[in-house]
Amino acid sequence: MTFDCKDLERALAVPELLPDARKHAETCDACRRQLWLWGEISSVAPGLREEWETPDLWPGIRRALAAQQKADRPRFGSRGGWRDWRLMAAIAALLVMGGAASLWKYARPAPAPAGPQDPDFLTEQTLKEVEQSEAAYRASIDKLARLAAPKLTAAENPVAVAAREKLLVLDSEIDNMRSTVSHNRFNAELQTELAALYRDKEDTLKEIVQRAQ
Amino acid sequence: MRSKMIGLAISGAVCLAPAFARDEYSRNFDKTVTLGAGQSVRVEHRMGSINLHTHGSRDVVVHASIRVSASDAAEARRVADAIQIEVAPAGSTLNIRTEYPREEHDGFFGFHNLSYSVSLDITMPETAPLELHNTFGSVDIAGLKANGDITNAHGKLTFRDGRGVQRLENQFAAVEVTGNAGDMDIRNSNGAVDVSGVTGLVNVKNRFANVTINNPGHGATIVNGNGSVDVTNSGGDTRITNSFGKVTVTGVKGNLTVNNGNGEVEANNISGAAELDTSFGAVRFGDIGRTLAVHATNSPVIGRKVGESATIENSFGRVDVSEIRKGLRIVGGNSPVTVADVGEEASLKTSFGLVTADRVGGALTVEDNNGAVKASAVRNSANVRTSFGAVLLDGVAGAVDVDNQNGAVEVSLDGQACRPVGIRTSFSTVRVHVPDHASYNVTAKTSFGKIHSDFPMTISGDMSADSLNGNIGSGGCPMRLNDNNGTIEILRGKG
Repeated sequence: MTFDCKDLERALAVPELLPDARKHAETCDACRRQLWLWGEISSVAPGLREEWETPDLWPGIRRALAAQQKADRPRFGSRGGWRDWRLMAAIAALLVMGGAASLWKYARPAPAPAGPQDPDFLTEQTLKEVEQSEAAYRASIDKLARLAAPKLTAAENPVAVAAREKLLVLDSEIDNMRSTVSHNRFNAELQTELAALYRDKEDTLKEIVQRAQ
Repeated sequence: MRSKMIGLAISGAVCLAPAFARDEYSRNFDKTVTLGAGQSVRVEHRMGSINLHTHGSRDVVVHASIRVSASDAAEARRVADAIQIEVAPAGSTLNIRTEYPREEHDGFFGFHNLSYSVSLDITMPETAPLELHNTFGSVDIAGLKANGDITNAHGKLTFRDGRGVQRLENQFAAVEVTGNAGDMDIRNSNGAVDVSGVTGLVNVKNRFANVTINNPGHGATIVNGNGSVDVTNSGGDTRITNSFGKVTVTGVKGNLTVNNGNGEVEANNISGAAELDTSFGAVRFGDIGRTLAVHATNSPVIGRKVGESATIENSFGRVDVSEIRKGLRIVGGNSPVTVADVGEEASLKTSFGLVTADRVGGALTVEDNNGAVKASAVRNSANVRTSFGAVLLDGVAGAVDVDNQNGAVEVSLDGQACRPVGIRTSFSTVRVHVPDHASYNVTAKTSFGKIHSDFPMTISGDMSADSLNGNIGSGGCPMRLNDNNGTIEILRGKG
């Protein structure tokens, strides 16, 4: 939204508008001074605050809000919880996968490799390294996917449904791509595409784990 | 340590290189064909890029670069020679097709020990319709001035400076369009879509990636999921369906409809009506030309400037809106509501949050629960229901009706004209500021409290410390004040 001076008062009461106010104040002396004064008052105000006991008010509101949000919010993994050994195993698998991915990134060719050879194709040695790294990477992803699967299949909220659908699409495409690559293994473009699909799957699984946390 | 290991691996690779030596062979294919009147061009290709551009003549110029990698030079050459580029007319179409030898499919060639790619460079008449299919390679099309139907997968699809109705489809890679005089239909999945300079209607369907559209001449329809949508300067009605991503729209000459889920919505400079739906993401708006309708859950709603009326339904998120030219209706819950500069009536409903209304041009109706209400400069009546919060009304130019529970009520009446007043509360103070020279017929009753008046009153009937019936001035205008366990004060206010 376009911010001007008359919005300043509202911005001081609405935290979401403060970035707009600060940006506007960079070019407006009057508002800059108002913001500075507000900052000064804010620093003094805590010393003037008075508090009194309302022991029953907030717990009641919090219980009501929690119950409402639990009923409304589609949050993956909300049933049963993820704070168990499988979550720890998933995080460990992610770390292993990160290592494998790094190795593959070193081993596989850059999208536009330079060198005396034709950049369209891998050498035998590079292909060997790529295939070894891919196998390790794939094993790590599969392990993580197996750990995530029970929670993913149990949840029926939109986040889980979307994640399941995306993983299904990616798995299908990874199978197709591996089949294509098997007939054209030295083709650098195909290997790069396959790596991109694995990375997409890795990112999706990471997102699922993060949401579950 | 890792760099040492990588160093060792590279050294090992260099030492072993002679044992794994490979040979490559490449050859070119060139052919020029004159396209007949009314003929279209059809391209079918895979395993390589296509670079297609146009010119004014009727010639179709095909250049192919065929490359093969194999365990020895003779094998590489044999396979390269077996790859064919077919350029042949078939009825009203000129077919350009890449044909790989059949053996590749069953691994006959050296146990899958070879690889190949073919890149195509095609120059064709700019006015000839085009149908193109490719997989596993990028496609770049420039200057097509006829209808096109382009399908690709696993390679970036770029389209530039076109004219006509275009249909583009891709998978697992981006689609980028810069300039087309005509409508554009784009399907993609798992790849970004970036469109600019299309003079017609833009229709995009995508999943799992971002969509960015600049300057669609006749508007846009976008269905996306799991990615952001960003539309700028749309020339017509714009409809967006999305989920799990932010939707940002800046500049629409027409109506805007956004149906988002689990994502923010931001809409600015919309000349027509705007309907913004979302959940679990903030809704921000500015400069909506006509009506605004927001349906949100678990989302703050913040914005200003609506040319006509606005309706906002929300829960679990603050609502802060201003400069609504006509009426405003807000149904919120569990959150504060702040409104300012409403041209006509305002109806505000929420719970567990402060309601603040400043400068309302019509009647104000507030229904709150467990929240305070603060209103000023209301040009018509004020009707307020709440509980467990104070009600402060300043400058109401119409009738005042307040029903509170367990909260103070303080009302400043505006002007000397009759403003009928009805106030009910309990366990707190009722305070009414009455202008000098105003006249009221006062009925006040409380329990466990006192009644105080700054004004001399003509009392009728019995009088006690907690009940009275009398006139201020000449009376006439009804003022009914009821309290329970609280004091009632009638004070001198502004004139």
